[in-house]
Amino acid sequence: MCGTCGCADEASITIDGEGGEHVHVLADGSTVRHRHEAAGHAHGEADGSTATHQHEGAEHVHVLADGSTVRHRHVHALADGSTVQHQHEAAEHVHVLADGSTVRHRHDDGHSHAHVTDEAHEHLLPDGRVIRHSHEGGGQPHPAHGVVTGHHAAASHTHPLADGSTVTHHHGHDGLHPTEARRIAVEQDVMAKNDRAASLNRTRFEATGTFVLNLMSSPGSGKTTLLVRTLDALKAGGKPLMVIEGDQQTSLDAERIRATGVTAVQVNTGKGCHLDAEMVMRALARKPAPAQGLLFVENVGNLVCPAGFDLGEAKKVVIASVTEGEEKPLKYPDMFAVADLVLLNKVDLVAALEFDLAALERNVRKVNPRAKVLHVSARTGQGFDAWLSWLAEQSAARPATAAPRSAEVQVR
Amino acid sequence: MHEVALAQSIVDIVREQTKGQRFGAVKRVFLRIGALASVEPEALVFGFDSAARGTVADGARLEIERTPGTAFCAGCGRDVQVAARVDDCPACGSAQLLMTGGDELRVTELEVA
Repeated sequence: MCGTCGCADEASITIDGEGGEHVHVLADGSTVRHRHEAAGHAHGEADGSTATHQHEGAEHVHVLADGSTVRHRHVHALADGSTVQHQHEAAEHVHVLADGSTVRHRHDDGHSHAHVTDEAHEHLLPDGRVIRHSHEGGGQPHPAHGVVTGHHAAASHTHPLADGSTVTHHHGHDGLHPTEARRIAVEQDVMAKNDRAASLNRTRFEATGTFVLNLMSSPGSGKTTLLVRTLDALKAGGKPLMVIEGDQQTSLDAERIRATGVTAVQVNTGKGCHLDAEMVMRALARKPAPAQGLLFVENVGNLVCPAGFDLGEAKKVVIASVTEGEEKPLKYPDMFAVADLVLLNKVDLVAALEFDLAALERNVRKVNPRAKVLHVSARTGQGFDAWLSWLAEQSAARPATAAPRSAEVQVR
Repeated sequence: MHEVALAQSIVDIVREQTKGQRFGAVKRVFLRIGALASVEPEALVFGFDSAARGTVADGARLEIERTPGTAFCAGCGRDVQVAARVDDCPACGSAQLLMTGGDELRVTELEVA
C-alpha cells in the first residue's frame, strides 16, 4: 500500500458506462480496446478462468490481484506452423500443445516466451510422455526459470511444478545461467508510462480543439460546488462542456454535475488516490471529449498524489479555500508548484475567519512564482467574472483546429 | 506522491528490461531520485517489495541515489542548491526561487546474477 495514502489497487478502478469494454495502453504507446464477454471475468482476478474474451491487439496486460502485471499474447505460432494457446494463473500457466495435451509451468518473471529460435526442447509430461517442440523466439535466449543455482552440468534438467510433477527439458547450449553479478544499464523515467498516455490524450485534445483543465484540491475545498456554478455560467455561451469526475467511491459528484445538464463520466479509483492519464483515456473511450469545447477533469480530493500525474490537460487549477488556512501552499508545495492558477474559494468567509489573504498569496509565490491567484466564492459568485475571463482567455489561446478528425484520433 | 503506483512502474521497467536476458534473479535495482521528486523512499521500498512479489524483481533491493534540488534565484541571479521547494535562497535569502532540477525519478541500472 502507498505509504502516503494507502492506495494501489488498480483492479478496483471502475468507470461508469464502461461495461466490459476498455482500453489498454501498450508499451509502444499504442492502445488496445477490448472487452470481456463473460460476466465475472475481469482484469484483476487471478483466477485463471477461461472466460471468453477477445483482444484486437495481440499483446496485452493483465493486472493480477497482487498488483503485479502479466503481459502476454494468447496464441503463439510455433515453428512448425501449429499454434500454442495458453492461459495464466498468475505466473503459473498452461500450454495446450498441438496434440491436445497440456503442460503446466510457471515463469519467474511473470511470463516471457523467449526461447532460442531453432532450439527444440522437450517437456516430460506427468504421464511419462515426452513432447518435443520449439518456439519462434526471435533469437532471444531462454528466460530464467525461478531458482537457478548455477550452470547445469547436463544440458537436460528438471523443473518441479506446483502440482508435484516435473518438467524436464533441454537447453542444448553452454553458457546459460551465469551466476556472477552484472549490471544492466537502464536509464528509464519511472513516470514514462503515464507521460506517454498523457501525451496521447493531449494529441487527441489538440485534434478535437478541446480545452482541458485538471482541477485539484483537498477534500472539502468546494471543488464540485465551484464547478457546478462555473458550468451554469458557461452553458449560456453555447460551447460544448463535459466533466470527468474522479472519486474513490460513489457517483455523487457526477450526479451533481449531471443535474446541470452537462455530461459527466464518473471514474472511481477504488483505493487509488489520484487520476492518471490512462483512466482519463478510458473515460474518453466512453464519452468523447467535446469538440471545440471545454473538458473539466475533477481530480480525487487530495493535495499530494495528483500533483505528479500529467493527464494531458492544458492547465492545472488548484483550489484552496480560506477555511483551510494560509499555510496550505507550504504544507503541500508539490501541488502548488504545478498550478497554473490557484483559485482561493470561500472568500465570503474571510472576515469571519480573519483569514490573511496577503499571507496566502505570499506562500503561493514562495513555491510557485508564476501561478496566478484569484479569489472566488462558489456560494455567492464573488470573483467569478475574473475566473470566467481567465477561462475564456486561456481556452481562446489554444491553437485553433479544424473539426475533429475521425478514426486516427479515436482510442482503439 | 503515489509510491505504490511508482513502485509498480519500476517493476514494469525491470520486467521490460530483463526480457530475454540470461540470469537467475535481479539482485539490485538502482534508482536516481531528486530531492524535489516528492517521493518518500521508505514508502517506495515498501511498495516495491509488494509490487515485485512473484515477478523477476522479487527480493531485489532498491539502491537509491539522491540528487540535490537545484534552483535559479531571481533575487541574486545565482544557481543554487535547495533541499525542498519551500526553501529560501541559501545565498541571499530571497524566496523567489525557480526550481530548475532535482525532480527526476529514474531507474538507472539493474544488477542481475
